[in-house]
Amino acid sequence: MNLSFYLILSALLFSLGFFTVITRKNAIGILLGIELLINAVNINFIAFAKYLGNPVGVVFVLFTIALTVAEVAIGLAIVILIFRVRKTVEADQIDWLKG
Amino acid sequence: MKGSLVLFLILGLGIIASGLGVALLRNLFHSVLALALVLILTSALYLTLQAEFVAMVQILLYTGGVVTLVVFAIMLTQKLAGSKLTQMSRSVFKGFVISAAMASLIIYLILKYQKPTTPQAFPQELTYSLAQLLLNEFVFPFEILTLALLAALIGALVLAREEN
Amino acid sequence: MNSNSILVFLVLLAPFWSTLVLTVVYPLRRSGKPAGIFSILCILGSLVFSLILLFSKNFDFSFNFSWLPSLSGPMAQVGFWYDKISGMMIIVVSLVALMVQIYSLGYLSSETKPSLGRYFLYQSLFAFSMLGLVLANNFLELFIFWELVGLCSYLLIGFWYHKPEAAKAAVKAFWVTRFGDIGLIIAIILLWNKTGTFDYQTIFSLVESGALEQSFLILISILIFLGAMGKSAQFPLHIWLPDAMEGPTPVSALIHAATMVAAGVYLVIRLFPFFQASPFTLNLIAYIGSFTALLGAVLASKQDDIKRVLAYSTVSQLGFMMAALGVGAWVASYFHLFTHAYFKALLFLAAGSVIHAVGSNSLSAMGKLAQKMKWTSMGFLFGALALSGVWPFSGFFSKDEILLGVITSGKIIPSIFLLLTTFLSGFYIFRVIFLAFFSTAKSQIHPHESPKVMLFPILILAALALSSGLIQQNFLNFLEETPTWHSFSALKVIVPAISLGLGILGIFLAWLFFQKQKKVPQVLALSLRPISKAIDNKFYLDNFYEFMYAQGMLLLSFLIGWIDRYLVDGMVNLAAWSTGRLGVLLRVFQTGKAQDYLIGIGLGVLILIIWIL
Repeated sequence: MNLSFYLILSALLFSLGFFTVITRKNAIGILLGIELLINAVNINFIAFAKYLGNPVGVVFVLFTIALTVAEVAIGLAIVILIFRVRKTVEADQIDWLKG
Repeated sequence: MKGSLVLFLILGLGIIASGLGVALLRNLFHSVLALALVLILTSALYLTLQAEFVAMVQILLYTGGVVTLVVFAIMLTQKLAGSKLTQMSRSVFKGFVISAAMASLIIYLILKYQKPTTPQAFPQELTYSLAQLLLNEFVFPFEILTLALLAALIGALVLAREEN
Repeated sequence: MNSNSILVFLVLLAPFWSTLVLTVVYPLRRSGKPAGIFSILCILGSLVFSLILLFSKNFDFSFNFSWLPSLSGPMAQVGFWYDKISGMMIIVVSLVALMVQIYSLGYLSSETKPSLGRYFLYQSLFAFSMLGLVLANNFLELFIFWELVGLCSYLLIGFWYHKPEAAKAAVKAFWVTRFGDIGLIIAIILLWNKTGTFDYQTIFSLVESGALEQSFLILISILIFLGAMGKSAQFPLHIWLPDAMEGPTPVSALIHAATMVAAGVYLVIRLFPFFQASPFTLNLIAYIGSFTALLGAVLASKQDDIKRVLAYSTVSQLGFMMAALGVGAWVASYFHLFTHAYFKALLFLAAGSVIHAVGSNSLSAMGKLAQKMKWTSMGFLFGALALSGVWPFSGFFSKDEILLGVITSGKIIPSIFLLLTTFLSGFYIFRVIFLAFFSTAKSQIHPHESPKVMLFPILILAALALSSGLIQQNFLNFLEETPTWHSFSALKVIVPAISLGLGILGIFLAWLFFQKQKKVPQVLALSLRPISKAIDNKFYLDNFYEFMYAQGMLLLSFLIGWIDRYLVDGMVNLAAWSTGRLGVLLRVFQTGKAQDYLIGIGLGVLILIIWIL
């Protein structure tokens, strides 16, 4: 078993997450994509921790998980707020920043 | 050795397949379920790497917390919008090209450089050393983290509160 | 730093200290008279230190402090050069400044207290700047002090700023001298550009070694002379000095007769090794100086304002000094500067005393003052005798040195101009004497002798006007210069005799016209009407300048207006327009959708990675 397998899996998952974030119209869908990205990163951390025999990588995963929960809570609150104001959660209709 | 590879392949393919579900399924609710699958399979992967504690946390927090939260949000917005939330994708081609390029580039880089090939045993039992690290070396970030969680809690409340 | 350097420092520091204290400690300044006494004590300190320096007989040293640091060593130095020339000059400056400040206590006693304090603040600042100007050892420092004395002149001319004429005269003086200063600063910049130093002595040695070509020397020396012309009121930049008489009379005595206007002459003396290297400029100086001398004397003969007579007389005497410099007789020029400072300050102070008593500047309001004001008229008479060059008064010696120098140089036109000026000097100054002090009393007012605090400086200066010429030989020995013209033994007797004769002839004519009241001047004025009118109008120079200035300004503003409207605005509009077009182009990328930006980020990361690989 080579470390590369884990890394390649993580890379594929990361790209899938990126794809989701870019293509999803629904804001909640974008949040799901972000979860995928973070998950891919976590896999990397754990795999490296195991292959280097160093538990610090695992500590980082614990931190990311906790922060992700916070991020999801805030993100969903923002989604609901936007929904309340614009009556939509379609990300491509939210273009206040259009120049 | 062979057995672990087979296990890895099954888990990996499952993760990728569920990830594709997250990315492509038209029903948002189904997407969330696919995400839950991804997370559970990932925690299984953690188990194969002897990271039992993290696997537990993953299931408890992610699958239990995040997915529940998202489902709540979907139900809430659906109720507010009064229609079923289906979702379309946009600029699929552009997204595919960039993601594919990114994946191939990262994989190219992974294969290019030398990496450790065999798993090492942790010096101590992992959960024990995690506790040691979190309460000694990383106690300060750990405390900061609690603050961040509190702030996120209050922030989410403030943001989602009805304007009065 | 040895003890003499410290003394030089103290000479400068005393008036600087006074300026600082009077600026900062405003209750002292606003208390009036105490401020004056403080300032006087400080300038007395300067005088004492200068005298100690002189008698310590340690000359020709300079010292520097670094200033304006740059990578390749300091760009400029602040330093002082004490030699015999600057050593004499600081004594003259501090002595006259002391006399004038004492005199001012009486002359300006009717001023309000804050205003009197302000006056002494300016006086202290002037003393500091003038001493700094004299002691400076490089061009940059010179220019700073040069502008500072100009500033003080402006402030003191406009001391009675509520009088519109005074305010106007102050601005005029500032502008006209500034015109000359432009030349000076251009010269300094060019010199620095060429040699990389501001230091006098370094530049002198460069000139001596012939490292600078002749055309460059001519250009620079003319530009420097332009600055000297402005400051020393040489034709055609003399027009500001008569108007500067709007200031208080002691100011006129100090700044516009004895010290600041002599700064131009001093500058040329100081830089004489430099000027010597360009004979063309020296020639120019000789002609301009002698012409100015004659012009000033002619104009002085027909003024009604007693101070204006003295102002034109100053212009004329400065022309004398310049002419001497032009023929290379810098010692004679310096000696005349030395004696002139005393007798002209004396004349001004005595005139101020008269004005103080009569309450008017006009000669027609004066008459028979000699009976009421014995001491003042004696002082004025001494000054007048010195100015017209009567033996044994100081003017006799210094003027003859100049005449000898100019005549032996073989320049005919300057010689004639200067001889005529000698004659006219006697005439115009004794015209004032007879009209003001003798003749008939015309005014209803009752003049009275001035207070002792004003008479004391007059008497001291009168003694100096009488005696300062007698030390001629000591002066020359001190400067270690033996003028070439001293070898012409025959001329050495003839020229003083001629000049004395001309002076006395002038005095006699003045007596005839204005004491005996022969009708000659009126007849002359009638028969030579155009000339007389031209003199009344100062030869139309002021009108000419006014016209040139107004038209030039109009033309310039028209040009600038056009440039601003079409070139500058055009450029601004072009910038605005192109920014707008660029914005329209960039708008395409600014969709406002976060996901499009994310695509950009992804692309950017990809490109970055590929580039690094």
